[in-house]
Amino acid sequence: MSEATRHIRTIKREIAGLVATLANDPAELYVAAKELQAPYELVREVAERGELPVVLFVAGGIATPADAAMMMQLGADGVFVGSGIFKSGDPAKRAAAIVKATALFTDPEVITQASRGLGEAMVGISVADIPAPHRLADRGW
Amino acid sequence: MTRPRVGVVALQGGVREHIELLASLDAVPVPLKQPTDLLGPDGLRVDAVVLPGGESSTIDRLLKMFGLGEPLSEAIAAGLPTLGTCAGLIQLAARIEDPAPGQGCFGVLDVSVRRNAFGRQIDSAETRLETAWGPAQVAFIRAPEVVTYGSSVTPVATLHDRIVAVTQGSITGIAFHPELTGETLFHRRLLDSIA
Repeated sequence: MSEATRHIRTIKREIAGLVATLANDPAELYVAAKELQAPYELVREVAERGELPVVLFVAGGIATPADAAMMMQLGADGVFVGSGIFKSGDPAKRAAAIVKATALFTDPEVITQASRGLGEAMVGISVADIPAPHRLADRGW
Repeated sequence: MTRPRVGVVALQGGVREHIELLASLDAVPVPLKQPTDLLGPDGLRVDAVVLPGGESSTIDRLLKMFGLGEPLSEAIAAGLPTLGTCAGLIQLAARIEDPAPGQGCFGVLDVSVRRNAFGRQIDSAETRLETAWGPAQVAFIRAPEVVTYGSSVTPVATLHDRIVAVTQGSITGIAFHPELTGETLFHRRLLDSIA
């Protein structure tokens, strides 16, 4: 979960930074575009909208309905859950519960209900234990 | 007159664009996820409803899972003004020619539909459509088509000789997305139809 949390907070923080740059000194967006190695028009669009022009999914260690709901509360459009479901005691039940908590992420009662009786959860994996080539966060750069 | 409250089924798909379009038309958008969002102690909490596009079999599953499908289907059958777009049209239909495993539909609009009738995601296109209600600039994304329709249904628009918009009483079903292009025709008609 620490990874997923770190990712979404980083993304949100950097978007907020672009929004602030647009408000304070729009010309600096050219510099931001250069540093991000992204097209200026795209950087400007993100700064104007305050969000990415694509849906934002979050992944990495999500294992419980509450984890998924928290990611949605932090501003994700959706979550990817793999091991969190398949390495748990009752994958089908857990998958349904995570779907419910994701869709109704603002409702603490639903999240509590969905969290009950799910059996064993996935045991967290330390990022340091994952060989670097398998860390999704480092791919694509 | 108070601003009309329009429910938008908010389980999956293009929810936000409908909410923004309705707000721009001075309606109060109400996201619908659970039965209590639709029904209060004094009855219906909305004056009309929009079923957005998305992945139709996913929306159907979630409607069943959250218990919203049944009360919503009943409210629509009882005359709640309704606009279904793309997957929303499929959900309203009486029959799906090619359903996903386990996929159902409300059966409140007397049509049979075929999913993905205009090709895959890559075949998506924006087009200007001539409808019985005037021209409309809309987007087709894995759009369904109406294959057959009952005598109570009136076709409203066709594309390449295939029916892509129909109306039946208080229900309108369209195969495309007006909300992505900012086309207000269908939402305005929905608001106008509120008694």
